[in-house]
Parts: sequence; structure tokens; C-alpha cells
Amino acid sequence: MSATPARAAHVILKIPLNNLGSRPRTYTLSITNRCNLACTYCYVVKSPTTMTLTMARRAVDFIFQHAPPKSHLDIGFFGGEPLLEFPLLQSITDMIENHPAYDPGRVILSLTTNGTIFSDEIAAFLNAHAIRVCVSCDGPAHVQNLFRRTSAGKDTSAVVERNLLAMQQALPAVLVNAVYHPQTLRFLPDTLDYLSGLGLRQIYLNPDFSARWSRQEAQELPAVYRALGERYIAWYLEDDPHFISLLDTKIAVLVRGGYRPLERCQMGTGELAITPDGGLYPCGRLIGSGTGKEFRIGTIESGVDMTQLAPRCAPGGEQNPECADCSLKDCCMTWCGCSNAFMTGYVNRVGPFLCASERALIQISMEVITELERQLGPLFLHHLSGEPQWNSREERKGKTL
Amino acid sequence: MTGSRLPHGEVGQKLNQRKKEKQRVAENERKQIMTIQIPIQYDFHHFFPGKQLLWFNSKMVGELVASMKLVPAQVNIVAGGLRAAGAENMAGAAPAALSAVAYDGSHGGIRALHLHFNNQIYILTDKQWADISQKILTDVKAKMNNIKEISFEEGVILASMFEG
Repeated sequence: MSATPARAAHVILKIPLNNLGSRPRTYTLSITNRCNLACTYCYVVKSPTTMTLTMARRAVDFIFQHAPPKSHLDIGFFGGEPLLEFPLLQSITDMIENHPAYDPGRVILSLTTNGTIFSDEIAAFLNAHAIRVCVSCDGPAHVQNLFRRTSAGKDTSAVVERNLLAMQQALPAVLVNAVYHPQTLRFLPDTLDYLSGLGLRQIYLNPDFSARWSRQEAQELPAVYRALGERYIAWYLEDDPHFISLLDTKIAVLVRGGYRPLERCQMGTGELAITPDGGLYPCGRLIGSGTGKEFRIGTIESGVDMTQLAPRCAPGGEQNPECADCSLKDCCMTWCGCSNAFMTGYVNRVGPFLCASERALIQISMEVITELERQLGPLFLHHLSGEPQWNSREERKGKTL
Repeated sequence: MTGSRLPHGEVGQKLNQRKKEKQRVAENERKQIMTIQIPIQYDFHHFFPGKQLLWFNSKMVGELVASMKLVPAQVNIVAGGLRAAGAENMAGAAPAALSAVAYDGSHGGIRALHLHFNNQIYILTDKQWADISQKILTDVKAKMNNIKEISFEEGVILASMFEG
């Protein structure tokens, strides 16, 4: 790597060139590339590769060696489908909990699953080890089955719905993540209704940034997001607040006046993803094939070398010229390196869809705040502290922060 | 609004109704369990009063604290998750009436409207929050008048730059 791109990465990303001086505290542990689904938009390239116990031990040592000693430490099990390797997941959990540096008060374990695999045994294990669960489900059958099909091409909606219901009975909390795509954007309100109807109250909605979004979909965004806002308001008025990531996170940002530094993308510095072969990636979304191409920034043996990202940094400044002059830049997700990379190829260049989406979300979120506080009084003060989920868990009327 | 929730709705609403009561009971039970299990957090400085929560709005909050003549609350740190003793009805109380706020060290630990500023906690009334909220919204609305757009033509150029 020549000095020029190394400097480019350093200057543009404003991050240390290497080597874990920043002490990441969010780790995605991709324990397998195997998956029983073949979702068309998935950013992980599937293969039979699974983490060995030896590599898992090294990965756990790496995490505890480099995590900040007194801060929260998030470790998320990821894949592929991690529950295909349930015994391995159990072993790694055991390694984590028996590590000399393990501290139950600061380590948070989580699991991202496609929702096709669940059992009493799994539930008992997740509960015993306080592992938080996030299920990927795109919505009702006509949405879920469009992209999230088995590798044999079969529908998955029925089994995921059954498991979502079972999980809510068995687990203290279930988060759900729905991906929307140009083909399913107009169904997003239906997705929200469906997930709410299943009893879910913490709902994450994320666009497929790798899709080809057109001007037409961008023009549809305000109406679609407004329909989400109407539901959000209605559920509040019914005394049944939902956490809806698109709106709650933006409301929090508006109330606080912008994203705080630690909320912004910390790819490679505050966050790392580890692949089954011990590769390091700046973010779980950028694992790709996990075979050392594109976004790999090191290994657990060599540490992090951020200059590997230099080819993904566009020349000519830290961000799009339009963003530099935009009055909403502090409230906009221009900093999300993986979203940018999917849309434009560069981690520091925002695509037009994100711009349109953020503008629409800020507008709708402002309308939501105005309407709900008009009707209910103080409501969003807790969003100041970065805990917008409180509204879906606690009594409303601003009594929590 | 309600009608538009029906596409899945007949199934969804029935499920919702059945589950709603059960979920609330379970949630209340969980809250009680959580309440007594919350430990004092380790990374205490991360969010205790010293943490500046209003990163961007701190100037505005400082001005509000001064203009509203807010008085810092005395905060008692309570181990074991004893949440804000007596704080359930504090939202409408006058700040001066609050001599102490119990705090269990977790986010959401203070069950009253409040602000963090300059290492102090200030309890607010509904009216004071409404004033702050209104000012925040006014500021955002003003910003909405000066936004820039990344055009789809620009997106094509970016993509071709990368592919090229």
C-alpha cells in the first residue's frame, strides 16, 4: 500500500491507520457462512465455512484483549444463520462467560437469526445466558416470500410467523428487523401492521441499500413514511407505543440536535466484524464473501489496517459537496459507511436514495413530534438520552428518561 | 388509519387483541423483575450527570437553564435498581419542590422530566419541556428551508466514478 492511499484513508475517514488503539466495543461474530435461506438481497456470500472452536477461542481472546476495559461490550452472533450451528454458539457463549476478563455487568450478547429455527432448548439457552434476539422478517407472506426463501426456493413466511409467536412467549423481548426494497416499499405500512399484529413492539426497518432505487421510489417515500407516522401516532394514542427505528431514531436525533460522535459510523474503530476464518471487517454488513476481498481490513492475528479501505474512499473531500452545505447534515446519516458503499461504491459518498429518505424521514418525524406533543404533552424527552426504546417499554407522558 | 391496518388486519387484529392483555401482564412482570435486577452500571461516567447529553443543543439548553432559573436537583444514587423513589408524580411538580431524586445508574432511571447540563440534573415541568420542545422544532423547521439534495444524476456520476 503506497503512502498516498494510506493518507487518503486516514484523512478522509478521520480514523487511526491501525491498530486497535481505538478499542472497539461492538463486535459481530460471524460464526458460519452457512444458511438455510437464499435471500436475494443478502450481503453475505454463503459457503460451508464455519468457525472452528480453535478460531472461536482466538476470536474471543481478541475481543476481550481489545475491548475497552470499563465500557459496555456488545457481541453479536451472526452468520449465515447462526442457529444452524447451535452447539458452536453454545460453546462460544461458554468461552465468553468463562473468559478471565468477562464481566456480566458490561457484556451484552445478541443473536441475529432468520427466524426459521427455534425450539424450547434454544429458548432455554437464550434465556439462561440473557442473549437478546433480533429476527429478520420482512413482513406478511407476500412480502417475506418475495425475497426471503429457502435455498430450495420454498416460502418461509409460515415458519417465521410461527416462531415469532413462540419466541414472544418464551423470551423476554424479541426485536424484529424488516428490510424493504424498491419492489416492497409500498408494502411497508402493511409490514408494520403485520409485525404489530404479531405482538412485536420493537421494530427495525431498513432499506436494502444495495438495491437500485429510482427517482420514482424516492418520490414515493414521503407518502410511505407518512403512513408509518400515522400508525406511530395512532398507537401512541391507543396507549400502545411502538418503537419504530426509522422514526424513533430520527426523533431522537432531532430532539438532540444531531447525531453524537459515538452514534456515527465507527467502522473499524468502534466496531468490528469477525468472520469464521478470523478476518476483520469494519462492519457486519461488509463481510461479503468473507474470503479476504473488498472490505477486509485485517485478521485477528495482524490487527486492523484501515488503509485497506483506501480504494473505497472517494477523492475530493470527506463527503459530497451538497452535504457540506446542507442545513440538515448533523441530523442525516451521511456518515454510514456501509450504506454509502452499497449505494455508490465509496464509504464517504452518499447516494441519492439516502438523501431522499433522510429528508422525508426528518419531515415526517417532525410532524409526529408536533402532533403527539400537541395531544399528549411532554413525550420525547427520553429521546435526548439516546434511549428512544423507552417509549415502547414504559409509561408514556415523559416520566422516563 | 384503522381501516388501512386491515389488510392483514383481520388476522393481525385478532392476534393483537388476544396477545395485548397477555403481553401487558408479562411486560409488567418483566419490568418488576428487571427493576430489581438492574445493577449499578460499570461505565458510570458514560452517562451519569457528567455526560453531556445535549451535544448540539447545549448552548440552547444552557440559555434555557438560565432563563428558566432552573435549580440543579440533588441526586441520590441507589443500588439494586430502586427507581426514583417518590418520583412517579414528579412530571408535573415544581422543580423547587424536588429536593432529591433517586437514581439507579441506568438509562431511564429518573422517572421525571429532566435535563442534563454541565454535570447537573434539572427537573422540568410539563410547561418547561413544552417550551424546549417548541424551540427545538422551530429550529428544525428553519433548517428545512436550507436543505440541499443529491440528485439521481449525481448518483449516476458517483456510480460511474467507482465502476470506472
